[in-house]
Amino acid sequence: MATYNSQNFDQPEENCLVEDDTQVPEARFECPICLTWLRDPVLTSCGHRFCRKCIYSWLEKDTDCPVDKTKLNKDTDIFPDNFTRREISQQKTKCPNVVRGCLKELSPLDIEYHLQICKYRIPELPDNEKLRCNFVAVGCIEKFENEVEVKEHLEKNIHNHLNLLSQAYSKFIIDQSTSSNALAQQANFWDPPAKIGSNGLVDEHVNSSNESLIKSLYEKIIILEQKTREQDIIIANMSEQISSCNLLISTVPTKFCFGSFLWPVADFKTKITRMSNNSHMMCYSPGFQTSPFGYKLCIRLNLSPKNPNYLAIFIHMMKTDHDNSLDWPFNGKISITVVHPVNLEQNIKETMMTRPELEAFKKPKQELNPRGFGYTEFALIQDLCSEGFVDKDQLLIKVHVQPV
Amino acid sequence: MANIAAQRIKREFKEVIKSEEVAKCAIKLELVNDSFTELKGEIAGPPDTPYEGGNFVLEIKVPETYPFNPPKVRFVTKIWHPNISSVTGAICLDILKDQWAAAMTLRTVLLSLQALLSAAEPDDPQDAVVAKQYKENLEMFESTARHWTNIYAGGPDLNKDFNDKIRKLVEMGVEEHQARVALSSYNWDLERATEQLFS
Repeated sequence: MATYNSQNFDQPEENCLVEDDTQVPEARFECPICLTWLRDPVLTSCGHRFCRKCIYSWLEKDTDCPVDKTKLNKDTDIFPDNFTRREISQQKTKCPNVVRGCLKELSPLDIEYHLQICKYRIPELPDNEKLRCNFVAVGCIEKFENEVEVKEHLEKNIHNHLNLLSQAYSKFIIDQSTSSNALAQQANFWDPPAKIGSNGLVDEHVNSSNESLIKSLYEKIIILEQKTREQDIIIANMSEQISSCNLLISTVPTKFCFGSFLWPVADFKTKITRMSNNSHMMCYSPGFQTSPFGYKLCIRLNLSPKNPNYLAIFIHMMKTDHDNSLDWPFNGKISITVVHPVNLEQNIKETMMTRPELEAFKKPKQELNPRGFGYTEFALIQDLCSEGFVDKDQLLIKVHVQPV
Repeated sequence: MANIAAQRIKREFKEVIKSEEVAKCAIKLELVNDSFTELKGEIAGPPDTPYEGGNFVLEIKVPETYPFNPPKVRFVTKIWHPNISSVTGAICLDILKDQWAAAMTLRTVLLSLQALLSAAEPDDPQDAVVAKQYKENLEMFESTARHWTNIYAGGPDLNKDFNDKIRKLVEMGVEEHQARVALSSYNWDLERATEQLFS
């Protein structure tokens, strides 16, 4: 090999040979900055060698020699070291692939490039990029550097691979038969999902892909069922709200009629017949109010007890939640009209003033004050029918109440 | 990472692994990631110092501009030393700052740090409290540093007196390390440490 100068003579020769795949240069050929072979070597005035590029990069931010801290001027203290450059270029080294048949001898600087293209090189693949046996899925763990090795391995290991395959198959069958219990399987669906990347043989992969499909479908069904249930509950709640709203709305005409109430008495003839059959029978209208928080009244129809040919019309006071805020006895003007559906001149209208001494106008103690006030003989039923008041079996009665 | 930095760290790593200091268990170097940007160093406490018998772990981060800029190094193991922060482990050492030279290596850095443990420089402190104690009460500093070495770096010298005082503060609900810092800072005066902790 090359000549040694005195300072390196004590170093064993092996030192400049490669241990790994990279060449470690002798100290005198090594740049103290990049720790590799000197490229385009320069010598400083303080006697240290560097790659040209390395020392100039260093002096861009510093003024001292990186080795001994001597002040260096990059214009006057740095000289090309052609002696060392020649020494390095004469360091012919055999290609490390000599054991595989490469006969090239190159200088250390050239060998770096040669190593990348040397056809005898071992491709340096990291473990995860190495070629795996085609049967890795059933448990063959061999790794290879190139396709040739794979081919060779496949040819030599047919028997082995068949064994692995049959083992994997029988395990697959067992797995399938043990998982036939549907209920148990269903319970399995709620296990946490298997970790990705856990090692698995082929049969487990197949099984788990089917299983995960069924599992995801099952989960979807459950979710949908739950959603349906929720929707049902929402619908039930809403219809409840609607009916309570309807109830509220239905009271609006009677609450907000401001004492002017129109009562269409449907099925008039049937009612009359039933009342004439039972003298105690009476018809009541829905309650109506003089104002939203005013007096509540209703109309009563019955046949006059003295003369059942006459229709009696009465007014009754009714109980409300806000009775305590009103003045009692009720004082006001009440007019009752039997409306003629065609000719308004034929309307029968009677107006009366309340009389405070009467029981009928006192604050009701029950839902409906049993005492009423009105006309026992308002009109002859026969007249009402013959004069056309009853239209389509309906009699229209209007009551107007004005509190004073 | 710049090619030169990664290449150099690779070389240096091999150099350290083969060095005689590693053989003597004085220093240790491990890779933390594959890109050679982060390493874990370990130095043994030098003999005849309060750090003897302890192993101190270092975090080493290699900048892209390495070796033109120094590696960033800090103590992971808690240590009581005038030039090393007892809180963060930050190191005040010239070669890790303006006195860095491109010819220095991780091996020389680790050896320099070991030397720093033998020869503190209280006039250029990183931790003022420790430096003050070092200058005013060297004996107290040494037993405190020995105690920290025992607790955090696996040093052999157990200080029963210090441990008892810490336990008293822990019983009062103070976190152990906090108690140790307070007592160390007040020369193990339990009263003053308590006062400081609860003020």
